[in-house]
Amino acid sequence: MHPILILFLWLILFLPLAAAVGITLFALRSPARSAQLSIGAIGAAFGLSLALFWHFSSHPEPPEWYINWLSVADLKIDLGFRLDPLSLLMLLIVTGVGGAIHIYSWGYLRGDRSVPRFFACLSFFTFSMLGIVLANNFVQMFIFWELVGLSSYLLIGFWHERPAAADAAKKAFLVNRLGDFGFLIGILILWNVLGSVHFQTLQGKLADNPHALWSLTTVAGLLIFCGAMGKSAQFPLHVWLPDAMEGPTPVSALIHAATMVAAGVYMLCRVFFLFQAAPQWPDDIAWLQVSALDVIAWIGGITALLSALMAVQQNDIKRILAYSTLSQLGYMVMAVGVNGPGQGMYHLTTHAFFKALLFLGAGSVILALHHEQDIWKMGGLAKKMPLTYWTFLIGTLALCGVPPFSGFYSKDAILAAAFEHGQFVLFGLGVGVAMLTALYMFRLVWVAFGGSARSAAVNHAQESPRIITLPLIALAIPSALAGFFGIDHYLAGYFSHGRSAEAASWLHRLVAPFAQAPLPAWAGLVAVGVGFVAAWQLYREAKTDPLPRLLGGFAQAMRERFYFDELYAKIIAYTQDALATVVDGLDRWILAGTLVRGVHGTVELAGRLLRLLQTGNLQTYALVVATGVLLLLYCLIVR
Amino acid sequence: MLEQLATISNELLLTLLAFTVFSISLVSLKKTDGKAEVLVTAGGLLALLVLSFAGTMPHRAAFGDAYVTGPVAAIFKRLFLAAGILMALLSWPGKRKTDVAPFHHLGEYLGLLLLSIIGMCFLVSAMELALLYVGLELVTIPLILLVAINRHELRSAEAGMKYVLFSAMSSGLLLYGLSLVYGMAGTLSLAGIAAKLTWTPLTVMALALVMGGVGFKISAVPFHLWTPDTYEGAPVPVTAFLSVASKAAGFALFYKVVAGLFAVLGPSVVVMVSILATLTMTFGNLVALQQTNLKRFLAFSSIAQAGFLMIGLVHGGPLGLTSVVFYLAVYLFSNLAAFGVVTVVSAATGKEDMRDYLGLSESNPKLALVMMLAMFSLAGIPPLAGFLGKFYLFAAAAEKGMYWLVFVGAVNATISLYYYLIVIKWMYLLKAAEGRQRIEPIEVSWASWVVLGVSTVAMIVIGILPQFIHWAEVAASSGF
Amino acid sequence: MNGPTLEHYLVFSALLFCIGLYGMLTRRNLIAMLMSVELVLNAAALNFVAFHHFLFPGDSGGAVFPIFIIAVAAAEAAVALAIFIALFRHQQHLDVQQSDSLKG
Repeated sequence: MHPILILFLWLILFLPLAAAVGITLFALRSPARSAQLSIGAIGAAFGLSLALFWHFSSHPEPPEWYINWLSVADLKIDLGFRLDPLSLLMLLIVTGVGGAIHIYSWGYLRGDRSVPRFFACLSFFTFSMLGIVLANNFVQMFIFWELVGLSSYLLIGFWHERPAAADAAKKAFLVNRLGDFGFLIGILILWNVLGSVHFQTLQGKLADNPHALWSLTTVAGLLIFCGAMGKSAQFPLHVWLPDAMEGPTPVSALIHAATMVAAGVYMLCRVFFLFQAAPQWPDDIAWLQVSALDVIAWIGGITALLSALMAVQQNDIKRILAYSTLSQLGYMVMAVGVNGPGQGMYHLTTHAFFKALLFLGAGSVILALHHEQDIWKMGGLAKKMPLTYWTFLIGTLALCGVPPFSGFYSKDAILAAAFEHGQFVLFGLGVGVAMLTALYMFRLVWVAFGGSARSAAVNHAQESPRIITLPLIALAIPSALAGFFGIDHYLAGYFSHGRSAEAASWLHRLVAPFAQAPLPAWAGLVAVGVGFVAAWQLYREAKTDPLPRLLGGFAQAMRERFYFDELYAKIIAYTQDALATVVDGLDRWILAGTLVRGVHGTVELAGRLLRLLQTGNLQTYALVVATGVLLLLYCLIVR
Repeated sequence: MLEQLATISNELLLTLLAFTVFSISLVSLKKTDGKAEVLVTAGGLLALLVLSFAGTMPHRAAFGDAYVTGPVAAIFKRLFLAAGILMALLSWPGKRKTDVAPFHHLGEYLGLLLLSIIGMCFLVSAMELALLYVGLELVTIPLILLVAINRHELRSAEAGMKYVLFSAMSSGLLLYGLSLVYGMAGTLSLAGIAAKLTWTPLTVMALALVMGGVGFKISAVPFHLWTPDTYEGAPVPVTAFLSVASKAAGFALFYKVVAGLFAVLGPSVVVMVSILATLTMTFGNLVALQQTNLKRFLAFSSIAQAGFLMIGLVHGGPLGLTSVVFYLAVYLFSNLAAFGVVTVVSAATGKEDMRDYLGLSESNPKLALVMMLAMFSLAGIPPLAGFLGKFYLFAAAAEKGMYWLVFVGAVNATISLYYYLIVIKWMYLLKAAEGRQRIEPIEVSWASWVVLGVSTVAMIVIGILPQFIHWAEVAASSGF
Repeated sequence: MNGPTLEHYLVFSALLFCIGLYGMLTRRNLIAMLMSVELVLNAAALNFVAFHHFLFPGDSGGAVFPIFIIAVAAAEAAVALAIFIALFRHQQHLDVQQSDSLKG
């Protein structure tokens, strides 16, 4: 690679970090300076990414550059950058959409005391995300993966005075770590069996010998998928994402639309070669003839359906969007599972545009209403905030998949992939989710923007200032038109390795879905129509939500998110209690001496035993040591 | 003879230093504030650390192969010296509100510290049982006195009592095991014993007894019970030293005795160590969750960390040794950073409860930052060194094919993250008053800043620059 | 049958070890506990000497090791007694079961 290009890469990656460090060191007292630094860094990174993109659009060979970072025994870890259509596209999304959000944040948080801290975290987050995008090996990716988790913790908990925000931040962090275990163990298995953590080497080894992973093929794939489940909030690790809405709205837009949650899908596409081998299980469970891809597809489908159902009964504008994000992520993961990583990435791209747009629009509304988030206290906003309304509507149409808006094409691509792959149940599920999507999004639009004002706050609402509406407009354009950019061909060329993408006019692309796979296209369209009509009937003139009356308990369950949080809380509380009781008992029995025994009922029995043995503090310790030695002896001899 | 003395010049110079410090404190008759002693100790250790690269630790056998400083032993010795420097600086007598020892007896305190370091240096170089045993006791006995040095306080005396009896009992177990080993092999040389031992029930019994003694040193469950009490009762800098240097010496002992002597029992040792590792990690973590006293909290955290280290011991080859040595270095600096903050806060305010750290990020942002980084490093968050350390430990176990152990380790790493976050929560996230008094801004002496700064920089640099793991690897590939 | 054999010494030292351990676990007085520990150490020392005498008279290690053990035990006893005195000043007794201000 040309040295200038390498310099570009270093700059893209490290400019945001430099901004974060610079803000921490020099600009903690100056909001304006910190915003300039942060926005300048990401703007420059966007410009450089564009330059790279333009340069490599005429160079089909994926270049790679790395230096050896660590090498111990057989374990070699590089610090490297991998550039191919996948990472180039992702670079543009992260810096482009991220840049719009940076600018918007400056308007949104104006006046907040901690703006510099916010921008420092935001830049650090961008740095971590770019690290994932550029990584050329698993360990590097994992490191940045954890950094993304860490910086999201800081961002979600930005308003740490609110206990809910602090809790949400912790929850997001811990749930993500849960998925990361699997990821880490998967990486270790790959390294141990194949002797490398480097993507290209791994791909080469698996291409030479598809059975190189032996019976661990499927297990390794699923463990790697665990990481994506955490970051991309897939069922059953989806619980952190809606709570994470406690962060400031720009953070929601950045983390939950364009970057963090996309990381999981991106990773799946990056290592898609792992999933292409035939299913292979360890002998003991060989009867489980399920391939990793099937599991992925079904988890994606289930996530999409469950969260779409939950979205229908939410009343908080940001939560509706959060569940819709979950649902769309389900689509993307499902796309990967039905052998369509290109389609998944396509949807990721369009989704980044329109979901960021929707979140920012929601933020504009929230700001205008002085932090009112309940849609039933809005109404009639279309006239008060026309610019926000129209851009929000574009986002909605794109999300629902109304042609010619971008969402239609990417969603259709996924449905077509499922259909082609013979997964008719998943295909049907996808169509159903499309219907639900139209239902909950138009519910949101009509309740919040249509009708008449339902609270006093609406009467004083005003259109947001230019710095907030400009990013909205900037995002509305690609949300509407991304279907014609030819992103799908660009990606298809990458995933089918050299099969040259056919050049087509935009007019061609406009009708391509109907020409190539008419059934999925029409099915999707009809579903949207049904959802639209249902929303029209239910919410056009509604003063309150009619669904609870119609559905009763089911609507309640939807509103309560099918009780997953309660279930987890119960399970966690139960395990913790049980463990704590056991450990506490042990601890007290061992550690607490004569004074305590007899006082605490729980340790009374232990206390009696202790009295019988005539032991006290130190002697109990000695007894445990002696017992420990005996147990060791027993273990060793029995073996 | 001269050549033999030159071989142990590091230890000889340390002894000289120790007696110099004792003499200074005798001469000054407690009229001074002890700054001279601290400066001499820290400066002397620093000089020794520099000299160690100029030939005071030659790779040469002495005294009939009873003493050899291999490359790994040299790394250990440098770690001990570094820990000693930081400990001495941490004891700098600044303006203090509380009359916490060791600041009454700085001369004796620092001299004892040096004696203990001498013991550690002999321990890692010992190639023969008698030297090993004497080295071990030379580590422990000064530490007992250090724990109890604040004899005007009940807690310190009680901690000392527990430590002395516990250590005596565990060395009894160790010695009895070693005597059985001697009976089977007929020599005291480690290499000679390893070559002669065969699998018999008696060997197994000896292993169990020896493990009881070694388990005490590294605080492996169920031999860990002294740890929390002693850590809590001892003066904070002593606790810090116990938790890093003494533990590192314990792991050297483990490697020499359990893995070295009983090589013939290889598979059994692996099973035993992995079970102990699981117990140690899990127990340490679960109990740490319930602690609020920071010293006690860090005691359980250090028990859990010992469990992680034992994961690396499972792998008998160079990768295992590399990962253990590397993690010990990482752990040393991370733990010293954490204890450094606790020492500074405790010396200025007498507060050791994490609930007292409420809002520390606002009153003392730098201290809070160091503490947060230390917690993240101990929890294993990249890019801090703790992550890379854990990664190599796990990689070593994975190479052995022990995925279940990696899994247990990963689960425990998450549990540990939870309680490390609790400390951060008190410092950064909680704002409500709750009737607790905030800690005022603390004036931190330059010496403490050096300790905190060096530890923090080390935590970050070791995690990013590749040289360190490379050194560990080169050393490990040529043996202890 | 002239004089005790190795087995006699080994059994005797095992008994010493067990008595020491038992005393460690049951005596309430700190000084008695310290004495019990000394028994354990002596058991080990006796083992070394016995092995040296009966099995490896050529290897001096077994004869020298007990001297180290005795010396170290003396140092340990000195330190322990000093600490016990300090402890006694605080609580006016040496009952191990009531020395439990540090726990949990």
